Amino acid sequence: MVDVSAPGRLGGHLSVAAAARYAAPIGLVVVFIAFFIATPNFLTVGNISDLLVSAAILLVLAMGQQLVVTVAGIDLSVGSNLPWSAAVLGFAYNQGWGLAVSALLAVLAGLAVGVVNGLLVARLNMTDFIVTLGSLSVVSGITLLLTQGNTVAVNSAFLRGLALNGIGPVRWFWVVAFLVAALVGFLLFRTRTGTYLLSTGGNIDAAREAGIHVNRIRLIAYASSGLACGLASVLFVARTGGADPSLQTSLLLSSIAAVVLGGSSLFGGKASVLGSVAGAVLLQSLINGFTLLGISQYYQPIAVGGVVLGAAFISRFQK
Amino acid sequence: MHTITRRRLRTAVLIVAAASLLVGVAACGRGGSSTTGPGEVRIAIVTRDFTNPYWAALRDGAQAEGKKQGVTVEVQAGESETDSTGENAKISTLAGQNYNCFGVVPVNATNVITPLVPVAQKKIPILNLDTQIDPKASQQAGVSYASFIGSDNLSAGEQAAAALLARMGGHGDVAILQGIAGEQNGINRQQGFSQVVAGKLNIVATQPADYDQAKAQTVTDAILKAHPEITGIFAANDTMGLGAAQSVRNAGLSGKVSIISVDGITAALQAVKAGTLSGTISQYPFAEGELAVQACINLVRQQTVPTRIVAPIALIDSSNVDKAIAAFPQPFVPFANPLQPGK
Repeated sequence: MVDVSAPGRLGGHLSVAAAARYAAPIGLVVVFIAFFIATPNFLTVGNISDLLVSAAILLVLAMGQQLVVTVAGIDLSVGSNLPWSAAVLGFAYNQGWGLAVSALLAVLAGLAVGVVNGLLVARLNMTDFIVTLGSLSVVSGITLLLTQGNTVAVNSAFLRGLALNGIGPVRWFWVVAFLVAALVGFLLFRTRTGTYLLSTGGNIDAAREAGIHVNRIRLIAYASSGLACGLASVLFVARTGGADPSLQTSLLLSSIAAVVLGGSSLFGGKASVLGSVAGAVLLQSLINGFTLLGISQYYQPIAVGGVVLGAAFISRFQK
Repeated sequence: MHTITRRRLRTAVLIVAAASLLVGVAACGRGGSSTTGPGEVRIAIVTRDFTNPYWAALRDGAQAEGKKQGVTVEVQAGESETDSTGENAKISTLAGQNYNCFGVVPVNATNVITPLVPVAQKKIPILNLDTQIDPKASQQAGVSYASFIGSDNLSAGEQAAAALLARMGGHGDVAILQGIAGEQNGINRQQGFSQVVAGKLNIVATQPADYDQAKAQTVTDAILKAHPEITGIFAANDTMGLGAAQSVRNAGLSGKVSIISVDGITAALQAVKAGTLSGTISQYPFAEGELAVQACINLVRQQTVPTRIVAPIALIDSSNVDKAIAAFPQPFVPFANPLQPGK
């Protein structure tokens, strides 16, 4: 690595860095090609359509996680905030308050958890990891109390339509996921708040000295993640036909993995919306392709973990 | 800065373009290259997870029967007992393929209905396996099930209660280890148990241990401290029964506390043989898998299938554990199969 700055090697180094930057999109294309070769059933309109629908919930969660990771935080409460928001939707719907009100309440319920996380982390300066680990557990308990431990059925033709239909071939789930991703991309890279989010994550002391309200910025990040959980819960209920009070740990872990795969640094200050989107779709593609190939369930976590480790390795070359 | 942004944008556009080109090529070139021949049976079975030996046995039974009958059987699962969206994604992935019969074990009463809508619309028969799917919600979504194949969990709870009553001499304090909150099979087992012991045994503790062995051990440790006088434990499944057995042994109460659980997994049979577990109400997920494949074959060949097929259950204790282990994974008791296995 001593001769990195030598003129002859500069070009090579640059392309490795570029590859590192686009690790997730490149990985996605590689996985697509691999599955395309392995089975004729992967790259069909029907299957890709379904794959993207399956990835939508994870994608929305990953967008919230992206904002928290940008400010050098982590949101572990996603695993219980999602079922909590879903349970609020189910509760309200079964009280006969109508779908619109119920969905709105679900989004607000998710936001509320995010705001509490944000206040504890930013205002009381508590460690993000512990705060969200604590709220993961507390919110899960509240959800069990609200539902009495039972699955709440939400029997709505509208929600079923949301999960199954779309405008022509464009499914509603994609529309929601795309809008959320576009919004987060716009917020991060086109607004002053986005610049503040990135600089708070990059160097919190420098950001504070530059006059940025770092507490408010961190609060915004956690609140947004809560909001994303609320939105995702509507998709979740649409897809599963009800609210299940159990923890969604695999979605939580995948949401973090998607962001890391996408090339964002867990130390903050570096974000890639395109990367996180590709990361989420990549994780879902692995599961989808393995399902089509009938590869044993037991290999799937190894493949997912291997991809995350590979991304971590490639990101070493990212400067 | 500006040029970097533009370059990034260009790369992004390139990637998207390349991906959509690939999809386009695939749609014209390779899609639909494999179609189902007439009379060919292709069965897709989706369950909760394979980390629970119970579902792994269901998978093995289905695959063994598929091999025997010479039909294609694909068995897939989510990641855990509560992975409702993961299981859901598996079903919708398989729904896009050309299977002509589905068997589904839901995570909860509703999670599989939405992805089954396209299956039902294609008039592909669906079997509801092991755990009941909400009939009202299914009906409103336009999904119906050709048959329900599963054990009677209420009866399993009742048999467990009878076995525990006999061992405890008809009186005493008992603790219940529950499964995952809201899981219907667990609720039914507990209900069956409670109905039979009512007025005879005194239920002093009812705690959830999420079908988890380690958690069951921790919970039982706490219960034994709070209620050292208990002489019986009912665990809603075997993994929890094994956890409780470990806890009881650690507390030096072996032989004083009887433990009955439900499922009949291999580890539980061995524990019964070793004497750490008093008994298990064995269900036969292996047989359930076989029945599912037989029912599917009948359905694809336009033969009738009973709307409800009850898989066998039996109490296994020290008196018959050797016979049960020898016959495993098949039931050691005779079982009248209502399905005429397809030729």
